[in-house]
Amino acid sequence: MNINKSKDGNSLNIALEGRLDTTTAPQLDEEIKALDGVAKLVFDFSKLEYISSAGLRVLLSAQKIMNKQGSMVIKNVSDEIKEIFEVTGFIDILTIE
Amino acid sequence: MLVMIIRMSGVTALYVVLTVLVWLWTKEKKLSAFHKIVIGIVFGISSILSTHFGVPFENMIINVRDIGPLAAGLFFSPPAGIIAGLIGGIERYIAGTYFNVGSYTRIACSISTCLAGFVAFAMKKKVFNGKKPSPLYAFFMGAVMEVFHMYVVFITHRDDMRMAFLVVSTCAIPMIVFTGIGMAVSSIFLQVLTNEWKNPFVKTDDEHMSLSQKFQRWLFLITSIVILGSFIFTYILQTRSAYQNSKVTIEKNATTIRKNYLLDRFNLEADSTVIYEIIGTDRIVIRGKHKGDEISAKEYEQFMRNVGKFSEGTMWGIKSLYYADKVSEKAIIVTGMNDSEVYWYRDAEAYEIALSDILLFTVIYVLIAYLVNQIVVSNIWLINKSLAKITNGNLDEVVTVRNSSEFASLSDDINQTVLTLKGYIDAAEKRIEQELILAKTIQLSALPQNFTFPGNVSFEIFASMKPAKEVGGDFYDFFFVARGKIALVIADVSGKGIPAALFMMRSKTAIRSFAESGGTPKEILMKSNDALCEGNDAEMFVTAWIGIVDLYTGVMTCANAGHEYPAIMHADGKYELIKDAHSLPLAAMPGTKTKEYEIQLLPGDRLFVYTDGVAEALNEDTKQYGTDRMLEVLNTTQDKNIKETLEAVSDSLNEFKGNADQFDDITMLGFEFIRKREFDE
Repeated sequence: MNINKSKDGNSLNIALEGRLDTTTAPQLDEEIKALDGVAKLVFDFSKLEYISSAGLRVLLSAQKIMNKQGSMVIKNVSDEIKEIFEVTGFIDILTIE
Repeated sequence: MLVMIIRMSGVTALYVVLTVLVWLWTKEKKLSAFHKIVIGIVFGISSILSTHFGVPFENMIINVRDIGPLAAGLFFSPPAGIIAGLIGGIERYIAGTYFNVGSYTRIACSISTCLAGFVAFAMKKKVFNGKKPSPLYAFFMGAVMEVFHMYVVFITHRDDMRMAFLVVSTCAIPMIVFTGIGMAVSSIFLQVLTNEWKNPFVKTDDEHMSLSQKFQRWLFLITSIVILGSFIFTYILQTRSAYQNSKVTIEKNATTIRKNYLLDRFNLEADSTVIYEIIGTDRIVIRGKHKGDEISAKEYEQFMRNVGKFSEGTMWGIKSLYYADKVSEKAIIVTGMNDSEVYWYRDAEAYEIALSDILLFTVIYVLIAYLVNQIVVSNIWLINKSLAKITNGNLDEVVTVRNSSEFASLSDDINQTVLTLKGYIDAAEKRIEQELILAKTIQLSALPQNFTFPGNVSFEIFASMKPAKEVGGDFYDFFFVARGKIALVIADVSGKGIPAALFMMRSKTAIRSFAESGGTPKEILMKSNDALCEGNDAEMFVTAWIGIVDLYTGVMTCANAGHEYPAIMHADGKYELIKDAHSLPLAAMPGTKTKEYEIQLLPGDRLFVYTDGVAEALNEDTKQYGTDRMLEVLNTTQDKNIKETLEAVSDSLNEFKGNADQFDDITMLGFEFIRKREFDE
């Protein structure tokens, strides 16, 4: 999986590419640990193929952090991933654009 | 002099331009044989041109021919250096022999130019390891090559030292300096163009200086001191001996001339190197080289003052060593040698010794630097390479540098350390493995393994859990919550391995205890969620589906916390997914509201629940197994019992997966409602 980050002021853009699963989730987890001072977190999922429960866990962590210090948005979610969000009930707590 | 410097600078600059142009031509290319030959020929031609357009200086022609092969070999390709050297050298010999162009030095020039190509070849391959030399090294390469050139002039004219000395003393300095500068400037330009330029005046700290660099620095200092010391020593010795020899010659000549003059010989003869004058009291030379001339009063005064001894002074304005003596009352005889005559041999020797010393020490210097590289540095790199492999996890790597006792002992020590480390790791692995086996047993025994209930005729149940690692985060569970009410649970903790297994045990206990204390599936999941949210620092979560079947009525009350859709087969139809309402997984957010729904089971209806390890299993092409494939297989199992149904899905999964690793825990639970339980049962 590739993680492309771009920062613009206090807003952080993270574009994910590939599969966010047990093997790659720790990578994203590292990024989430360094969210200090970020007021707007935007995930771009246009190139994300799959997300597993380990990946959902990282998203949940990120959402919890951003609930305290700003907002989190997920963009360009494919139908497959959207279905995963629906099945797991995550659709209720995530902001998907 | 100034004209010479300007013209030599021009010629040298042309060489630099040529080097840069050739670099621009080849910069993006991998040098093929064709490129190498072309570079060789281009620089060979530049050598030839430099032979024929030399710069005249004090009746000599000086040039920088040797830059051609050196630049071709050192900056581009070693074979090109040899080609350029041979072209320049052989042409020089032909021009010298048949066309009378600088024929005196033709052998020295052609040998040094040919050799320059080979030297560049050897240095680039063996000492610079294929890299371009730095400006300092480039300067020394050029300068030392010219030193060799000059030295060959000496040794090819052993019988004609005076002429050789004249040639060398005129040409040596400008040719050495300009060849050196030409090479250095070319190197600077190439470094700047390739962005490798480093300011040499910025001091590199010790950490960035290589061992060989340090060694070379000291070696250079010491060899320089030795060269200078031996040179000064020889020079002083030669000065003394030249002075003594000249004194003997002058004295011998003076005696002979005096004797012959007193005998009134008509012809007075002296050695060609000796000047004698017999001067009258009127300061007119009576006999001698300047017969009839009048000597200046100052010099006459000087001679008169030093009558009877050797003195250093001027003769006809030229610094000389002379011996003045009275021949008669009316005349003195002054016999002397010009300083240039006294000391020419010393100077020639000084040049020769200096040149040979520089060559000798250059050879020693290069050899020692090369040996240090071969014996020490390259071995260190070999060991480093092995260490890198070990660091990257290959503990079977053995360091085998054994060509000196120190390296052998270092290799042994490293190998021993790695071996010990391996022992520790193996021991730790064994311990972890044993613990994991134990953990696996505990986890599996926590899942109900008994699928039969005494006297049960109203349902059939079967379940399996296959962790991806020793322990997993999936679980299933089934148990009676009340008379005639059986609870079915399937759940999946995020992640795998030990953390998931620990959280799974917590989740399982929570769900079962809340279920057994009575409550609807909705209440059970909500209570479990709140319990699991507490102290969930690792931010784990678990998806769970729970269904409680009333065996008397066939009504199944279900709730789903982010788990996969259950598949249901009604007695008359096929398996299909129930797109039930989902809430968030347990432990994700405190206070999550769970939704509940009911399904009426009729006799013969079947239920199949599973974890994402089934639906999302991957094959070698990272394609997902998917629920469609799962339903397809399920729909071939109508004639099978529940256990066989699960086995069929499992077989199909294995077939699909092929050689791909099992990626996630795979858990399934199957249930068939055979018939309603009678109230008296």
